Amino acid sequence: MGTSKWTLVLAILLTLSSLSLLGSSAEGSHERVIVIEAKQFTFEPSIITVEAGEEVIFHVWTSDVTHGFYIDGTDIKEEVKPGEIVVVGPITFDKPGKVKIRCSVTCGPLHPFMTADVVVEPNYTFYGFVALTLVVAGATLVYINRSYKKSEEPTEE
Amino acid sequence: MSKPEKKDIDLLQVKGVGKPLKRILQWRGFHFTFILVNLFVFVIVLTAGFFGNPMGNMNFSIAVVWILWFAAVEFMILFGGRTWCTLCPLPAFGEWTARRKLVGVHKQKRWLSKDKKWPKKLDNMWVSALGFLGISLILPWLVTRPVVTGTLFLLLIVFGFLFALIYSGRFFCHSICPASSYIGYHSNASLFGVRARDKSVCEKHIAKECIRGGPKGYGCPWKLYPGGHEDNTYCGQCYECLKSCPMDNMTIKLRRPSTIVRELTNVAVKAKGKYDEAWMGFTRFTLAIFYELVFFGPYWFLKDWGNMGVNFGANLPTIGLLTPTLGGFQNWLMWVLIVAGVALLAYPAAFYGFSWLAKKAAKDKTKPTKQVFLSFSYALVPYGLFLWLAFAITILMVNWAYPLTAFSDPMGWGWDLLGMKFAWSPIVPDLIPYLQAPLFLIGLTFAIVVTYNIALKLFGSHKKAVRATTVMTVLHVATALIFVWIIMG
Repeated sequence: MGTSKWTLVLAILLTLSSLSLLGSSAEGSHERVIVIEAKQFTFEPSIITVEAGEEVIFHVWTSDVTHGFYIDGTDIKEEVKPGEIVVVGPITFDKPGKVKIRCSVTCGPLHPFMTADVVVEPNYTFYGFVALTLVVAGATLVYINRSYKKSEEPTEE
Repeated sequence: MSKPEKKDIDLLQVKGVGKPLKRILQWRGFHFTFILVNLFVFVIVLTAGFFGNPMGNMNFSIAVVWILWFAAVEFMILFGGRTWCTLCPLPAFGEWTARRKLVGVHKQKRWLSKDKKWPKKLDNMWVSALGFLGISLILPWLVTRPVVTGTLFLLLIVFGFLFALIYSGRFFCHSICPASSYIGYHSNASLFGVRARDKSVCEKHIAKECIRGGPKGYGCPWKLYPGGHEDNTYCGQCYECLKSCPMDNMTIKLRRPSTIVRELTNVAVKAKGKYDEAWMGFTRFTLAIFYELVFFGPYWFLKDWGNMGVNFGANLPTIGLLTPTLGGFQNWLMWVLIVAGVALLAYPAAFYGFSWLAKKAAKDKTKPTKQVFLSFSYALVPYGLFLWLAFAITILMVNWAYPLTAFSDPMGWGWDLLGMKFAWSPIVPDLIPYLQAPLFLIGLTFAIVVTYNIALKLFGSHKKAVRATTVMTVLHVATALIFVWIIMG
């Protein structure tokens, strides 16, 4: 019962705070507020898409136990306790690609695998990796073809 | 004229390294000493597993086994083949009891083992491969709940012991242990190999102490003919052949990539009816990709399905906390369906389809599709290994702090025995995909090259081989792109 009451209060508070921040955003600031619920063993939403260069503020809360909020490649490592809203940011995601959010406080057995993705669009890194894979495969086929021409026919067994 | 083939490195003849290494490997106490050290570690694993902190990442049995050991084994396979099997303490009790000897050589007449012959039907890796798959069905529990890990290792020790008393040699390691078969399977892509220096010496030598045993060493406990080794699948690297050979003809070869491809190709082409090895390959390959998605991906429902919706850690006193709800159990059935469906059916079916297309593209009518399918499956030996290495990189870079801390606080009770308490903080986590990329790309390249070499031997023509390889490359690239999507998309 206690948890569900807290959840309701937090949800109302978060909605109000998000609306007020959205209002301020409309007045000229480019900060985007993203509300994240941490729970055993995920973040909701678990896939967040942002534009490269976009400023983001995370409002993080937990619906069960204490969790951590860690973003790869940054110094951000916050503790999120029940009944609190932790404001993280503003953070500017400059580099296109995928950034992981991870839980940094042991919160249960699957804690080491509690993650979420921030996809920074346009995701050139992904396209680059796709292209690289195709190039490597193509180059290997070309290499096989050429190296064979330089060598003798294999003897049949 | 083709270039003369470069020879592999005979490690035991390398100046400054060879002689001391040979002395160590021929010393009967070598195996015993390493196993004794590892046995001590396993006692900690079992104690912590049953009685330590129920929270996996704070418990030695989980943190050291499933982060450090697991990753170390994958790298060991690449650089040292079955080096883990050399050090593994699980079959030790059985072997010592059966031989009635800890270190020295004891005549087989005096063994305690019933010395029964291995059942022919089990002289393969089916049980082992299905055991590996079975473990995968409970993996989210196994790698996070100390009591599950403790129970698994206890069962392995008990079975290892019992099998050693019934069958002579390493039947348990050869055909039962769920780790042994995949280590052996991927060891065919290893730089390492125990081989005869000169096979003709072995052929002429009648006594064959490497099979029968001699005063200095036992006959091969894996029931192989070491003098004729051409692959690594079942060589347990116990070095008994190095000890028993009176001709000083056994050695360790550091294999060149070209040798790895050649030897693997020979294994693949001769692999008639070895569906056990093919399915080992499919299982390992698909699970490497699937685990990257499950454990480091954002799809919580997958983790929850495998976890049966249970949010508690567990040791022996709290094992009751692992009782799942009916809904959790139903969800787990979905997990079973996905894991078994993809590993046993979907991917093998796709592989068969592509093999059929490859045969069509090669315009070959001589080889049956099932032979093409079986042989081509060996491309997954290196490919699967490198995908697992890529997965291991993530585990290590993100969670390195847990195992190191666990050495100082094995039970997870807040001790700091060695002054090694590390705060969790991943190492350059934003660079992990860039470290994974070269690994899976090497795997992909190897897979294509191996496929081509197999096709060349199967179809006997370069043109046919290239056409078949191109078809199979489509499948290998498609799976690589799935992996790319998981780590970067």
